[in-house]
Amino acid sequence: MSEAAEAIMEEEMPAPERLHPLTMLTGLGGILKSLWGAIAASAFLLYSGNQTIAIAVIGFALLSGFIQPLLRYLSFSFLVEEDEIVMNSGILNRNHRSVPFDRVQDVNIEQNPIARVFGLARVKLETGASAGKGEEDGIIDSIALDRANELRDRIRRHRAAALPALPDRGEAMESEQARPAVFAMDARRVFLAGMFNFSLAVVGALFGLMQTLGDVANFNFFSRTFWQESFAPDNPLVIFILANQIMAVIAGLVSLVLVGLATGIIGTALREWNFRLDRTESGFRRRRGLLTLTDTVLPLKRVQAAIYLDGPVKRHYGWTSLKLQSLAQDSGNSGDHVVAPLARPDETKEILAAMDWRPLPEDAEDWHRPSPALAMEGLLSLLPLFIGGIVLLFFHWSGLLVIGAATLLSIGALLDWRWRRHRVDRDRVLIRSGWWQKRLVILPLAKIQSADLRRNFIDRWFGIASVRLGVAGGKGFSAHGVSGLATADAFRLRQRLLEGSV
Amino acid sequence: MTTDLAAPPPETDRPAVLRDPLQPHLPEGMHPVERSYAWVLRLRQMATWIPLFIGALVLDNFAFEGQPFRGLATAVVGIVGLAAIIFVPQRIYRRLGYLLGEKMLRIVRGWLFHVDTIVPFVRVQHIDVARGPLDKLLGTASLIVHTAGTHNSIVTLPGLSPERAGEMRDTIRATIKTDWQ
Repeated sequence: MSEAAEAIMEEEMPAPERLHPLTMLTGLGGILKSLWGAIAASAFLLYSGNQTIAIAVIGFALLSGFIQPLLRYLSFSFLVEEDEIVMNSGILNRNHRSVPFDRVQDVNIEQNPIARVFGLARVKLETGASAGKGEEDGIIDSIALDRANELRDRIRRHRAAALPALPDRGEAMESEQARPAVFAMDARRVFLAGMFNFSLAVVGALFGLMQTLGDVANFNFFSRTFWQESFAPDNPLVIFILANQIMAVIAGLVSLVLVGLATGIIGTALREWNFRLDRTESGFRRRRGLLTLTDTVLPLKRVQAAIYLDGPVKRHYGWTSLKLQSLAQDSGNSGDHVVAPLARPDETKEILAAMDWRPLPEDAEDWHRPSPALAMEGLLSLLPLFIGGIVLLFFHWSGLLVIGAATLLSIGALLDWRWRRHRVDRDRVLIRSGWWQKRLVILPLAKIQSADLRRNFIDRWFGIASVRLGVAGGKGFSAHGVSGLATADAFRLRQRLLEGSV
Repeated sequence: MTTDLAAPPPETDRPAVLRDPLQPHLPEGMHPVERSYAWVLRLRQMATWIPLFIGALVLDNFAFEGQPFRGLATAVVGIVGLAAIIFVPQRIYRRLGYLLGEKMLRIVRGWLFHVDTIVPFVRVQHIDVARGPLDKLLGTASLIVHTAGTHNSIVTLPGLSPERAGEMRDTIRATIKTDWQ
């Protein structure tokens, strides 16, 4: 079987190229690094009189340092064909990778100092595929520099031939005249955004800290001694607080809220100060920051999806926020680029218009809801918790807490089901979810990379399925998709989504 | 779009007795993979369970000497492992199928957790044909399709014959054209 395959491979690829033989030496840096450990170990061994083992350790380290590049040299070959490059690698696990030139976004040529001495270069073909987990797209490590340049020119020529009339891409920054900003936030708006960023997490953490350590450090807003010792004893407020424990509790709550507000406002002001979003030739340019100024260019071609997010308070006062999911990751911990931290819906409409995206449809029709079976499944999954709580109740009152928590979670499951919606709006799909923090994703169908239809065995009892969409960019663990559709609907939806994609 | 991508027909009644254990159970129009892949799966199950079984034996013979539950670990691991080796591979195999449409690749897999993936060819970034030691032993190969997505960016179709995998790679590759999204 395998012989036949090899034969076919041979036929297809008349003369695969190998890496440059000196590649085996480019690993020298790594070898030296690994040797330090071995030298230390063998010095210790020599000191304790184990000469043979010391020599063996050094020998083994040297050998393994050379063997790895040798094996790589022996097992790696690549072949440049008319419109693709084929790479064969691996010893036990043979891997044949073909990278079409049409998919190569960028060719990186890297040279570390040792490679420069030998005139070698490491070629990295970036395809935009996020192989993730440290696995790289297409790396040829290493070939002669001349060959690397040749390869890069070859790929560039191919791309130039395929794209006759692409305007020069270097215009990202300039040509931004005195056009008005698409969206900007003044100090008042930033302050307001900070209020909405009231951090429950900080409050929770502080409360927890006070309960555990507060009494020792005398930093507990809820204890009378804190108020007694921190302020003048004849302060009327303090006297009032001391008068009854209830007031101490209230004062504690007020202080916690103030701390939460302050952290929210300070954090937001540092980040969003002088927020300004401009439209440039190729996309958006975002400037913000108080101490650390950031200036981000966001080419529209890289935008994959737009995401509206609003919590209950923001929503109540008629505010919302808008993020763009892009191929590049935003700085900081959020993967998506925030283009409007706090905006009126009309302002976000303008941002969408600046991207040549249609506004959200006004009519409430045509939104589809998931099957009630999704809610049933959620409730069913909480059943063990209820049973556990009831059983626990026979032994201890804390069973009530478990039952209470299960009840809250059940209500959450129902509300979650209640607020899920999706709608195919011509060339894009809109997905709503969340009942506390509501989320609306606008995903152009052309940005869908792949579509999974998933059913586990419980889903199959209920006859439902979920559609998971592969979209580029964004945080690693927040896939877009629609859950809990009746199986036939899920198949239909997927077909509809992919029709737009092809 | 091919008609193959429509919803699968309702599950027809299968002959319960005397059926081929490797009789594919797939939506209409989907192709099963090489039969020898069931053995790849079986060997993989063995590679998981046999060391566990040996570990349990060692534990029972050395660590649990004289304990009342001595022998339990070996029995449990042995029975579960044997069941997994005997029953699981063909169930996974039966459910694994693919369809190379005109514009997209569809892969159906999973025994307890069904996953039905479609990758449009225009979205493919690059393609791997991979063969591990077990694959070489049993003459199979995996086709691995990479898309630009952050989620499900790597779609794997195992259990193809190496020739078929190469063919499919060439078919998909031929459709890849420049489109700058």
